[in-house]
Amino acid sequence: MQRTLLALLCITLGGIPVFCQVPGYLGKRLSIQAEFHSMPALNGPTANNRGLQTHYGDKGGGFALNWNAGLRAGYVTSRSNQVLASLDYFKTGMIQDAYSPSSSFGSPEYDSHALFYNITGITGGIGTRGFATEKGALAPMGRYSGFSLNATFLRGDILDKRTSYSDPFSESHAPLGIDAKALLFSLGFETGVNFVVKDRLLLNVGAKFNLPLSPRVYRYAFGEEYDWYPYNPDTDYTFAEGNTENFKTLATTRAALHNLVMLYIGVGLLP
Amino acid sequence: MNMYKIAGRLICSLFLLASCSKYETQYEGPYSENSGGPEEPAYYDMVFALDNQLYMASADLKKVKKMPVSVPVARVAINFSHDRIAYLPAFGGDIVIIDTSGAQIATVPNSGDATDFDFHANNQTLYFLDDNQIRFHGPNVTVAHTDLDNAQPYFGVPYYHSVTVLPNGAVAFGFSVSGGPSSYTGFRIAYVTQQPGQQDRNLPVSSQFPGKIRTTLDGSKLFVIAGSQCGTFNSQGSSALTQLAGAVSQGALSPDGTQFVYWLPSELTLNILGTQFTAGIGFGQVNDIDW
Repeated sequence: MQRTLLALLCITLGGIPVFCQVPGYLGKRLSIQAEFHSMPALNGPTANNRGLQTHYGDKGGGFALNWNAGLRAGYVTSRSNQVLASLDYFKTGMIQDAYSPSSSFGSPEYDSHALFYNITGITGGIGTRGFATEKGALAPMGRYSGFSLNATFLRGDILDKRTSYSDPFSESHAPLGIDAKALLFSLGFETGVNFVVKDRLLLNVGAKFNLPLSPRVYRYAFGEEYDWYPYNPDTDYTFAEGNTENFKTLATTRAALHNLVMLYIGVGLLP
Repeated sequence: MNMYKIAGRLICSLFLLASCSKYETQYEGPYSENSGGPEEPAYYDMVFALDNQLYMASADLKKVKKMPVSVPVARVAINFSHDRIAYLPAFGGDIVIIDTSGAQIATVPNSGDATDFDFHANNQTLYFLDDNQIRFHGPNVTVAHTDLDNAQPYFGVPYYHSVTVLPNGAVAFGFSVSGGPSSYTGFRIAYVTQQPGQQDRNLPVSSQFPGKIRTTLDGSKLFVIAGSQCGTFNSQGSSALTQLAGAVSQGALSPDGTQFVYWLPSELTLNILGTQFTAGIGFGQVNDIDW
């Protein structure tokens, strides 16, 4: 009887450290991960003017990849959950038609400019991942799904310009007045799988869908907001204001398409 | 393991090939409005009325701005220093003097019937032709005649179409006389004092309508438009017309007399004679122009 009680006591006491261990990777809750996201650029153009459907000018086009790269800091909150803060960077291409008042005063009364941009996006986000952990598991490992809220700050740099002057003898044009900055919010949904290698290294692969939250994107997608046209009687925009509004619409739409669906791989450390 | 290596290399190669090459410039290259420093200020030298709207243009016609004038404009003039503009409303009203921003400086009393007007070389005095009288607004100036009936020798019924006052006070004007023993259509210049090379004389043209005459800043040349004829006279000595261009509808000489801007309705452009400077105006109607 005493032996039986002693055995039960040992089993009970021996089990206590197991169930009292904090969730995480062998006690490590924090993880740092680098992720690379990519997808073929169907609608293009990319930063180097490639893309299967759209490119700028006579040169360019062809197969290319959209991509973004970033860092994730993860913190394990329970056996099956992790919260994340992320910072991502991408660069892509964009085409815009802009207008400026012409030195000519007949018809048309404006010069038009076909612009090729490189759009740089820096995305900050917060999110969470939920893991389908096996019963008794202490670390969020294996298959997961998650969501995140992201804000992408966009900046455009004009790499090329082709001006069509209303007056063919013109050699200069008025400033375009484009404030080439825009902001895009998006809601990310992802699913993937995560592995721990040799207790120190995290590997993951997954897919992410980013739902744009900017109304501009939907107005443009559904044809309610066209490329700004200088004589739109419904607006009181100056040329510069119209160019800037158009930039914001096109840049957020381009970024939204760029990030819409991505496949990714990640490598992380458990510090 | 080899499969993983091969797949990894393939992915890296594909990424480098597809996304890491640089953009190849095709047209004008990078553009930044900050890289060129502040934009050079525009200098507007000439003024014109297009479809009764008032505009200013630079001497090379590359910059044009519409002036904030709320009434339709029939005729325009700009002073030699290009800082004052006078315009005559198209549907009645006195001549208005504005600066180059469009701010009103003055309204010229009793000038609503003016048939021609311009600024004197002092850049401040506006003179205008009212029937046979030259009237003034601004500082006093010397002038050979204020009543043009005294500046021409013909009997009959005169009609005065245009006038310009030279810096030395000479008066040159376009007129036609009919109904008397002799008739004349053309221009004439009358001086304050008769000196060698400065005798009152006719400046003949073949047209029936000597509609415009303007002096250069120094008074050495007289620019005229008379129907299908357009050219210059020397203000001293000669009475021969030097043809500038044929069949222009509107035109103006630069203050120094070296450049000539003109409008040909058939070309839909304003042009600087002898240069490639031009500006398209489409099917608009140029009512008047001054430089």
